[in-house]
Amino acid sequence: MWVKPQEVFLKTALWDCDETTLYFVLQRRKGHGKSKGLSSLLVGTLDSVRDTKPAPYRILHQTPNSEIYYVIATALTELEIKQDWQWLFENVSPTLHSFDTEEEITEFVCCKINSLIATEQESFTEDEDTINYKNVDYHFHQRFGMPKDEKLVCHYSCSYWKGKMPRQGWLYLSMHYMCFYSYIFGRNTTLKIRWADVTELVKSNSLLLPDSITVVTRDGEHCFTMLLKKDETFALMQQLANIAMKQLIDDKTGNYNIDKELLTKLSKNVPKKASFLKRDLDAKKQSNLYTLRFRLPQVEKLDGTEECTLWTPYNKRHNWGRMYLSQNFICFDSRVANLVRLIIPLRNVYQVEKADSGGTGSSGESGSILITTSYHTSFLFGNISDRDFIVHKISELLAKLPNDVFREKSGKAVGGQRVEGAWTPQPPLMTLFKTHQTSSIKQIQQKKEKQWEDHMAEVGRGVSMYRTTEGSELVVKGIPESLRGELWSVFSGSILQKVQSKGLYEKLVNEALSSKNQANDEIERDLHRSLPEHPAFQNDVGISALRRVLCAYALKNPTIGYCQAMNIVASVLLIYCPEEQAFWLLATICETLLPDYYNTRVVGALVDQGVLEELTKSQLPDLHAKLDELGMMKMISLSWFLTLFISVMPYECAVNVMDCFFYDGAKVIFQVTLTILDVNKEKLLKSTEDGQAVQILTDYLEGIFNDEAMALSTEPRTAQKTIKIQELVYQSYRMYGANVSSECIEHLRLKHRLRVVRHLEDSLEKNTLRALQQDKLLDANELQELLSVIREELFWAKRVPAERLEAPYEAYRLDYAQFKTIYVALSPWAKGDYAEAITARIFKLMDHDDDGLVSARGLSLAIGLSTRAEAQKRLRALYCAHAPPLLSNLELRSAQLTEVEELADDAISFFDSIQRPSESIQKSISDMGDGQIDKSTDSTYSPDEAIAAEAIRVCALGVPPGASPGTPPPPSPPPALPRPHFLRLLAALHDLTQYSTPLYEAVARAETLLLQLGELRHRPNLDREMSQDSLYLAAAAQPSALEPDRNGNLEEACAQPSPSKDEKDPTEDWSITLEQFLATMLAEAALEEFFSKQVSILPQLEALRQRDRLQSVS
Amino acid sequence: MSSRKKVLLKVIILGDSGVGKTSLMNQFVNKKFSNQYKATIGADFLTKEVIVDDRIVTMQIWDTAGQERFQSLGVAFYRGADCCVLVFDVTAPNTFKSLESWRDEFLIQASPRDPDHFPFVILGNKVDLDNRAVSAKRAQQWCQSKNDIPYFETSAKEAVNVELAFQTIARNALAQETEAELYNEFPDQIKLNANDNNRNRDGDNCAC
Ligand SMILES: Nc1nc2c(ncn2[C@@H]2O[C@H](COP(=O)(O)OP(=O)(O)O)[C@@H](O)[C@H]2O)c(=O)[nH]1
Ligand SMILES: [Mg+2]
Repeated sequence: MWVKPQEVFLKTALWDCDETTLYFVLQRRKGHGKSKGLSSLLVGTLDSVRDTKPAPYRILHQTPNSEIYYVIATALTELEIKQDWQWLFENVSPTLHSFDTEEEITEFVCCKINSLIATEQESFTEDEDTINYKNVDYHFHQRFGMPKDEKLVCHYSCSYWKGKMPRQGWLYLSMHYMCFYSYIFGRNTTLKIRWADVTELVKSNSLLLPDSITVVTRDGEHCFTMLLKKDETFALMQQLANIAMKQLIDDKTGNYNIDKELLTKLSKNVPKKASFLKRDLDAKKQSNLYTLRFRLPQVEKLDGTEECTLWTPYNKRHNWGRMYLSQNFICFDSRVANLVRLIIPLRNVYQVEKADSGGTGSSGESGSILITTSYHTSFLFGNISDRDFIVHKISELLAKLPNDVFREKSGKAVGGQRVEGAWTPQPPLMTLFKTHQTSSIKQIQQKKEKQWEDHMAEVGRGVSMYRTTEGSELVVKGIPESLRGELWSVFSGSILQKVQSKGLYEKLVNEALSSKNQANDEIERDLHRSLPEHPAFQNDVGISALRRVLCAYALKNPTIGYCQAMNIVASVLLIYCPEEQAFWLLATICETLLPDYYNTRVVGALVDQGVLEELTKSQLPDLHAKLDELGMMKMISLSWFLTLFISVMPYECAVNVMDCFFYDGAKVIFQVTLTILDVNKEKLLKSTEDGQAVQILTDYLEGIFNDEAMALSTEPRTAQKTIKIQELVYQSYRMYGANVSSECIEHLRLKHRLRVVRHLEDSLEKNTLRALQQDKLLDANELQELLSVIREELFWAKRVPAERLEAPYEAYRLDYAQFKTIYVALSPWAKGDYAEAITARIFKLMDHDDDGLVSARGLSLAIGLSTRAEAQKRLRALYCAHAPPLLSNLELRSAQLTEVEELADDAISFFDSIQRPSESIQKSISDMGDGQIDKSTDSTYSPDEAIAAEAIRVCALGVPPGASPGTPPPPSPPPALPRPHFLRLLAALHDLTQYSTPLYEAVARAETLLLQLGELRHRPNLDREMSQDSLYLAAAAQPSALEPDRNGNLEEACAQPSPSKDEKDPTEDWSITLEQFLATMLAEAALEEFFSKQVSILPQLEALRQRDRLQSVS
Repeated sequence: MSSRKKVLLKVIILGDSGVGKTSLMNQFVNKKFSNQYKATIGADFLTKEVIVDDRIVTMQIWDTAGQERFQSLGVAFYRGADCCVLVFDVTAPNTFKSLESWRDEFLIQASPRDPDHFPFVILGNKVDLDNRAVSAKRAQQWCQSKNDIPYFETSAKEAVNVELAFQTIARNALAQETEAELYNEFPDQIKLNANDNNRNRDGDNCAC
């Protein structure tokens, strides 16, 4: 037991030394253990007289040149003290030599021991509600400046290596960050790393840094040592990093929802000491493993497990293993791998009873439970230690089952919609389009069917069949064609999904077919390019079924929509399965078996390419080196994985791989791939360029054959036969079946997901930077920094789906609050009292589609315009930002009441009223907040106004921020500013120049002149052209400025007479044109100079970055 | 001097999904149009020997997946390309609009030595169809604006202009290849030749 380090002087009195190292001594109290001389007796007596009873073992710390010793550990038993000693020896001793002075060593050791004590004490505390946790949580938020809602998951004592020096301190793991804090040798060390920035987590063990965890980010490596629970810490870090990556992939909100329900379920099984959130994560992990193991729907939550036996009638044996309970299932897996596995859906359970075989008292059946299903099958579990509890638990779960809601619902659905939809789900297409089979093939198929019938007579049929070793062997040989549909659904677990969502498919189809969208168009294009060799798809029957399945799925899962390769997989499913079953199989593949494979960035497939690369590297190192040299390691098998080999080998062969795939999961693809590479290794090693290597593999794959099934290709087979598919599958199990386990794949997937997502993010960022540079305002350095700031700002907020981006920078979109944070920090225009209002105006100017979001380019333009552009452009932008309808009458109205009198001569009086419009903008923006999906309803402009707004933006920026950069700016129509708008502009100018008297005076002069000019216009009979309404006309007068296809709209707009307003405001005809404004302003040399000044924003960027950047202060 | 060694030209075909890349390649290599293709997933290639100016060259034509989500994945094959063929569908204006970004992406990813003069060829495919939506003039104008890229109107279905287009592709690729060799340093050249010896798959041919 570690104790608070205390000085002791009498090192040897009353103690024997058992072990000594340079810095540590292990001592035993005389009178204990080995030495039983006289003195030891005496000591023992002394102790009992004094009634002190010190612990008989202790460890001291000392440095060679010091007289002072510190007790750092005590123990009652030798075993205990030896453990502590061992830990010191392994973890602390090796690092001590890196300190310069002995004082430092002592300080370090004491600090370390103190933190160990703190950690231990904590493990006694029960819950997240304890003061201690709250304390830590508080410090965590304070020290690292975390937002309130950032949740701390766990913290650990450890050492962080800064340079060559270890710093003893605390590692904090939260949902989005890992942080480290230490205060030692009078120095602070703070480290803050975002999970999303982590590229790699490595457990390592080197001489210098024994037993360490290294965290790699783009900025460098960070090494942590001396962790008490290294494995736990590492596993948690990995899990958190992966949650962060998943969020990047799915573009979902950055909130992890604490699953209270799951938590209470599992709290029985999880050690109590961890924080609330940590337990939640543990529970989630366990549940994931559980659903993966039994192929259950992913939402299933594990309730608890229990050791017991399962009676298997086919061989009359009790098999030891573990029973798993969750809200919809009872499962069992044998201790001996693959011996027997069982899944019982609770909805099928008819009866649960305690089974004590009538007093015979045979020990094998004590604590037995008999479960009978509504299909009259019984399952006997034995040797359950807490039987009453389990029975109670099961009945509780049964009581909570929804009462066949699905069946009722589907009944209604069927009645109503069949008529209009006018489609019927197809049976397996192979039953409609029978392929001619030779008699020998027929025989083989019949023999297989017989084998399976016999097997299923023993182990049962359907979901709750016993999955046995014998069954697996039959699968490897290839499932007979007639049973594929049924067995695929059972093995993959898709049948469970289907049962749970009865009627959903039909509903989805009806809805999907009646809608028009991009996914449907893409599907349409690929229908005839799916499995054209099969007669079913040379016919509308098959094509329509395929269309229904794909469109329905695109609707069901919009994060995937439609991805090429799904068409190929789905068409094979349709051959063997009834339509609805094919749909659910496709869903299971997309969501469970091949997670993230088909999403908008095919992340999952890329992750698995990484996993394959790593497996190849370890299993076939020389081949890996070769393929890497040819630059094709990363790509070689992408299509193999995406199409489950269907696009690369004859489909009647690929289905045999699919048999195993549904039975054993994704590991099968890996082992088959490795086998293919292995078999072709010699040839591949000799190839000299990528094409040659691809050719070798193509030839091999096309030559695979299956003489137990009918080949369909109508084109004569040209490829030379290479290997029988059954042989290939068998080989793959023999050679790689054991090396490539599902757990291993899952583990590697975690690791590679970090890399892939990081890579995708990097290239998105690179492309964005490239695009932004074309605006030629901010320089590369500034843009890079700016983008980092944007990323940081967006980190907490909702990301825009990366789907269908017109330009890379559209992936980074800021709402007003985010825009404001950055703009105010960076732009010289947003420094005064009016900063908020100017920011709001500029935001509106940049929000080209009025959806309340501005892209990274909008922001970079906004900042670039205020710091780099020519004076004329800057002034023009300011002017345009205040033009109607961007600055709407609505926004002006509230203020107008107060202005009337003073306005004309003194714009400064507006400063107060200004607050209101900006608030209203904020409000209107926040109103839009969540509704960014439906832009049309959010748009506050009438169609005419929208055109005008567009024209103004074109005028201000040359090109609207939505258009791609690089295209030359068209000549812009200059709208005239009505008086209220102009006054706002003046207020902004005052604000910008208020710090310099000459500038301020220059503005005043220009202002006077402009107000007079405006006044000149203010005559009732003046040409209408210059009135406020004329904006549209002005815009329309320059059609060449606008996109040609907009022409039509524009002409309409100007054909309409300007909307006549009944009561005319007296100020209505007052106006200032852009030319007048620019000429007047630029005539003032001071102003011209001010607006030409090139301002670097690097210092501001640096300051902004400092706020949240990874920072190490020494 | 003997530059009679066998030449391998790497050609990349890019364009939106469904414009007919795979069909064009098959029409050129196998001289037929068939409906029995699966959509291209990942990347695929065919080779064909052609004679350009009395020289036998092997064209290795890489076909890529066109769906947007696969775009970034094909780039592994861009490197070392001698010519890039951009295909659009004359009945689908969107596929024409995409040409620009396909071209940009190729130049960025393949980063050829001299991007301004890297040989591209544009093919406007499916001219056999009636519902044409991109005029030859518009296509030509665009090609001219991009350093005079050669433009062909093709039909993979009816084998219109396919042969001619690929001849041009081979010629321009060869020019590029030859030019590339001139740039090569001496040691590299040796390496190149060494590679070429292995490259003769049928082995009946030696570099003499
Ligand atoms: N009418 C016509 N159809 C074509 C032509 N070329 C290709 N197609 C069809 O267009 C579709 C897509 O062709 P494909 O070569 O797979 O396009 P890819 O995605 O670019 O490879 C197929 O249905 C082809 O039959 C053509 O020249 N004329
Ligand atoms: Mg294709």
